[in-house]
Amino acid sequence: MNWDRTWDAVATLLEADADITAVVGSAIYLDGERPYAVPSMTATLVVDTEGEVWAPADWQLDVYARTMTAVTRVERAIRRILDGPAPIIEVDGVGVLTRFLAGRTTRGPETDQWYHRSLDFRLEPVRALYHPAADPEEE
Amino acid sequence: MTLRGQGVLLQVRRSTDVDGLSEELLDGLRAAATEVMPRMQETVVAGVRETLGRVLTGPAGAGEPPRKVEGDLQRSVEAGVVAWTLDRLRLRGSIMVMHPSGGRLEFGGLGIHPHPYYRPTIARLAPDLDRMVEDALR
Repeated sequence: MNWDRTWDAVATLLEADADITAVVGSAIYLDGERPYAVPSMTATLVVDTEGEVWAPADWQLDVYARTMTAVTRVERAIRRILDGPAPIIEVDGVGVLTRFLAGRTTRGPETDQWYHRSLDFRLEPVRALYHPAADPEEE
Repeated sequence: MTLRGQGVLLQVRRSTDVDGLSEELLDGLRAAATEVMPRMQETVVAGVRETLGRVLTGPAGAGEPPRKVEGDLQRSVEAGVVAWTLDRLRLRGSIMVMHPSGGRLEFGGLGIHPHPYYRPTIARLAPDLDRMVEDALR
């Protein structure tokens, strides 16, 4: 089972981003952990394919804010972290390839009160990362 | 995709790299793909209906597929109406979930936990769908 560790790693990266925290503060959590709030970012594990060699996991990240500008600011930051030119994060020494899958916008009846983007990412462990500094031959 | 509390069109996508193949060979592959896509859609529709067939004594947990109550959502799943295109060999089929809560249940929203039923089904069926494409293109 890897999904919990990968979420911890992703959450740490997201919580360290200034653009994200400027909008949602510390309200970054797994869906269902806390009551819904605006602004906030929630995460839901959608698919956890344990049977496959690489055990990919698909996550849905939901961003809620009072303005669409704030939502897109957070989306841009998330995409920069998880869908950049070298989209590999580290989870306990294992590289995890992250890929953007799809995005959508959901609007409620109270459309002037909040704005929302929902983003799907696939997190896929690839291999143990090589750290030259930890190589005994180099020490 | 923008959801406003209505049914939802969900895509079935599979792609094959066909760079460098002749037009004649591509025509044959397109014909095979045309034949296999409806069967893939039927497989997905059956799979999604199976996912939506869970009968629970209590409500489904956050992130779990919705439980079956009356079966309206399950019955509203159907193959898309000629809503697929073939661009080179990227197959794009679709299934429609006509129930008004179809989109909201899959993706959630403020105050509504996502209860994904389509994406887990596609992940479960992916090996079967890939095999169908491979067999058709052989």
